[in-house]
Amino acid sequence: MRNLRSAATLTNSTNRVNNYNKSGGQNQAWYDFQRMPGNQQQIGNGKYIKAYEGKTVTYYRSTTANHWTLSYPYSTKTDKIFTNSIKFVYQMEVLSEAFKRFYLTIIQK
Amino acid sequence: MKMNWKSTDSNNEWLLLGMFSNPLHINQISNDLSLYSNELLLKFCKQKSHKLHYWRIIGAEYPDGDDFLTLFEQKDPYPFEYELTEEPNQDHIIACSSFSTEHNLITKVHGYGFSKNSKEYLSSIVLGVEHMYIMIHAGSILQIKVTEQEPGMLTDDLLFSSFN
Repeated sequence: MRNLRSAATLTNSTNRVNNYNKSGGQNQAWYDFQRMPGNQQQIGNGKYIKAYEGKTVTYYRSTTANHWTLSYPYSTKTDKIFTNSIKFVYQMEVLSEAFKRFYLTIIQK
Repeated sequence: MKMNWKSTDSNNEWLLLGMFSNPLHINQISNDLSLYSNELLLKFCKQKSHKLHYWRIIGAEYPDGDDFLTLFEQKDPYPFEYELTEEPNQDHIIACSSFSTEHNLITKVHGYGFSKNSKEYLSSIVLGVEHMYIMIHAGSILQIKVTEQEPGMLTDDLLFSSFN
């Protein structure tokens, strides 16, 4: 989880949670979850847990942030890593620009 | 009928008949048990009257990320399927996974939580059941700890408390 935190950006904290953002979307969140130790158990509705050494990591879709999320206890609080699709959107924008340039080149010809 | 746990002595003679969920995962950690549920149903009855009562508990998330418990008091085991037994002590036979304890007289109920915008939110419920404690913690998935060790004060505010 420490590695995950270092690859994410802290966005806000309360007395109970630290919220982080990370890019990559659902695939990244699922990949990160799969790298966690412990037996995988499905709780329902696309929610999964892995319990290891008394701690539990949860993979779920946050209803408020609308992102795939990993939550994990950290000290007396919970770390939540919301994995958004910014990287994917950025890639689409880059592709879109490339397509525009290609289209304009064809028209000009 | 309201259970009204916020008033003192309200848990007098209440029995915890079981906890129900579908699915319900149970892990052992040392002498304690950790149960995991997406939606939990607690079944109570009054020792003398055998009147049944249920708490349906689900987790919710505040926009700033804080998790809290949403608790519904109800008279039937919704949302789980059930069959009714014969009168006079009519009971619900609930068709899902369950967890129950040998001793089930409730000795205390504590509710912990926090306040936001002048509203109180429950984050944990601690039930004392004779020789053990059942702690229900808020989260995207509810985590229920069953332990013989008396829990200390939780970090959140004590919102209500009642002793038998």
